[in-house]
Amino acid sequence: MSRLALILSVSLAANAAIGIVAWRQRESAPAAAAPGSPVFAAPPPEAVNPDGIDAEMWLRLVGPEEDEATLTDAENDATLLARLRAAGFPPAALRAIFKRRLDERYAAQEIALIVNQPPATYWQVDRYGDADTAEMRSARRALGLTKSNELRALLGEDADSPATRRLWERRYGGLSAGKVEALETTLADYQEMENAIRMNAGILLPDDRAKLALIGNERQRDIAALLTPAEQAAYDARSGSTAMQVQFRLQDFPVTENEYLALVALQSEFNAEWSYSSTSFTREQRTARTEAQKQLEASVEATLGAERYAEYALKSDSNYLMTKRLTDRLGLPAANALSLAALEKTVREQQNAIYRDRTLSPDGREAQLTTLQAQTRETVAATLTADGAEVYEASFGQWINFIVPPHQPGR
Amino acid sequence: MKPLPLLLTLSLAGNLIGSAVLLARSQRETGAAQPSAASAAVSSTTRAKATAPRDSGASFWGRVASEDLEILARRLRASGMPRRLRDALLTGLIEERYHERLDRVRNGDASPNYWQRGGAMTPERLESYLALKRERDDLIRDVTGTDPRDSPVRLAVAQRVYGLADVAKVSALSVIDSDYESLLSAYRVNGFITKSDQAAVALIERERAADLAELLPPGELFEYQLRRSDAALQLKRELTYFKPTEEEYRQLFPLFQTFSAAYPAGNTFSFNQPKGSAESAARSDLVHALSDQLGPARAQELALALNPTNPINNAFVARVGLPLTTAGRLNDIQSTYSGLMSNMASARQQDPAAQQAVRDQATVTLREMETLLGADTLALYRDTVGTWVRGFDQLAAPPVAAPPGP
Repeated sequence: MSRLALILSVSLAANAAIGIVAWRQRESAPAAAAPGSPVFAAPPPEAVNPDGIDAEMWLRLVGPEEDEATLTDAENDATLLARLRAAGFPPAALRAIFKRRLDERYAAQEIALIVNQPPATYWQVDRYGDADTAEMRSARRALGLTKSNELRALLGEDADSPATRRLWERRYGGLSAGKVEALETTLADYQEMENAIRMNAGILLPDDRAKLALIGNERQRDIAALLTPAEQAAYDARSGSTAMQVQFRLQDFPVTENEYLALVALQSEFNAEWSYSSTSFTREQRTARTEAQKQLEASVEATLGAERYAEYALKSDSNYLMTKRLTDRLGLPAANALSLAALEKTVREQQNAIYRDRTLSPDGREAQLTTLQAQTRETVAATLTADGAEVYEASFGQWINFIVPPHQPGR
Repeated sequence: MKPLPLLLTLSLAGNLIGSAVLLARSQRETGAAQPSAASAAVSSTTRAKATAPRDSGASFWGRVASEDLEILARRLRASGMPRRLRDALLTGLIEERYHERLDRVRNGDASPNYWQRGGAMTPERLESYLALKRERDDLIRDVTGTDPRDSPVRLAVAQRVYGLADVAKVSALSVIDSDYESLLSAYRVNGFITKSDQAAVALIERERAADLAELLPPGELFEYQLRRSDAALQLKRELTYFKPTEEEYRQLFPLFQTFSAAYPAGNTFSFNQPKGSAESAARSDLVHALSDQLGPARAQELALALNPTNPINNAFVARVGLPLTTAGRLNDIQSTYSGLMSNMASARQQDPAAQQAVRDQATVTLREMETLLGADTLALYRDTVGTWVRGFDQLAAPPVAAPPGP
């Protein structure tokens, strides 16, 4: 074969090879664009966009194993997280994506819990409005905790938003996120048990008090097992039941942190002995409780000083705080709520004086009480407007109804 | 030209052109035109197993990120991110954006001091809070095209709450309830509704009723009202100690619903408060009408539940598991006690025989109480909510005999 013929043969073979490669390339391009899954479908019209983003950027980032079908697979979590972090996804985006993956992963389990309950007893009071049984609420809380723990195991500190961490700091001090959620779930479970007893019939009997005390002790034990003493002290000062009680009273009376902590300590001491409603106590216990209450008030006065205590006594009264809601609602000054609190005190003194007056006949006494009641109603209407007075007397101003005692049958 | 050199020239030219085409295509695929390379990488054969060629990744978020959520949504959509993840991401980002603002409004810009709460919720603050929440949810809907209230778990809960299986209806009901409850909560926030608020509340309720009637046929509407209407909530509360069966409740509800439409419970504190004379009369008629639906024993219990003379006696007997009629007997005995106390006061010092008659009657009545409750339960009653019985004990006790004379 001549040299020319040899070169021609090689050149023709090269042309054939180029042709095959070019043909294969033409075939492979459309094949990749349409494998059937929406993820791999041809780019939608908006993919041709002014941002220069192409329709398979996500796919190149996460790899082919991550598609709609594997969205809830736990085994892909770590790989996906690593890729998203490497791609610069911020913590908020990671939280959103992995929360959804967890929600979807557990959705079937949660729905099964909901639908497999006994039929809802819709003809009875449903205090939670969810038609769930207490056991179901507890089971769903446990599931929520499982999801939170998994999210935290995956994302670490990124699992909780800065806003959530600030809220927790305010509520619980410097507790770790895991402890916060375990604590919240524990507290919710105990709260549910307490509610069941308190709402059982609207009154507490000694047996109920014993159960509540047992629940309280168990809760304390669980909290103590979960938190260090310092953590527990921080929790108690911020969100313990006594702290809530004191904070409610202080909503219109500012104090320093030291004063606040002193008030919480005093109230805790009182609650340890007398935490439940006086309707549950015997007469002797009620007398002792009244004495203890006086002692508590004296200690509070010593903490705040006589002048501030006088203001505190008025502004921490629950009737005042409720009345202030009404004056706020009606656009009236808070001073009107204060003057009603003072009015209640004055009227009670006048009422007692009428009862103590032995010179009065029963009819004369009733006449004086009726006059006192009418005068009180006039003052209340002048202070709150007629509209406000009606609400007041029907709600937290019920004491006005009882200025004149109802007629006893048989008299 | 001879044929061989001519063929060779053409073939070499073909080599050059073909190589140039392949080279150009190769450059396009590895360079700016990434989709084709990626497409090749995810061809069905390579997709089955593991590692497809991936972006280094570092550029992804940088290329899609935008403070403008519409732009971010568009870019994520263009990137091929699966819809469910894309929606989750956008929803999460929006929720975090609003989280702190919502907290601030709800807590009344609470002091940074952990021991100081924000003031009580006011209607104005509640309205701001709800408006901000609506703004957030609208944004989620606009950006993702999905309703944040439509998760499968929430729908399962709603199906149970409404007693309906139809997912579309349940979803629509949830939206109606949520929207109207938001409107109403601004009026109910403090636990009371002033007279001037009542007209607004009535209007909202009428609108809700119209929306519900449009959505549900009469049978389903009745089932909804049995479960979720204000009348249902009020009736269930009032029947707490009556403990109705399902059948009794379904019997009683329609009559109560008619009454409730005429006399809505405007004030959440006012259930046991004195009513106007028209309402009292209507309530009395209602109790009679409801009682007609039940047998005599249950009718008596129903009357005690709906018109309690002394609610604490109802609570006590319910708590210790006695029938509600026992509370009725306790009420009678309490009245007797008041009468005896009054008689004793009148008979004081003047008529020892009259005093003895009162004491005798007190003793008999106290024994009756012991029979009614049993000794242990009577002791429990006396020590807790029935402290008035202690006065009865003294009334029944025989007078201390005078010491014998010298």
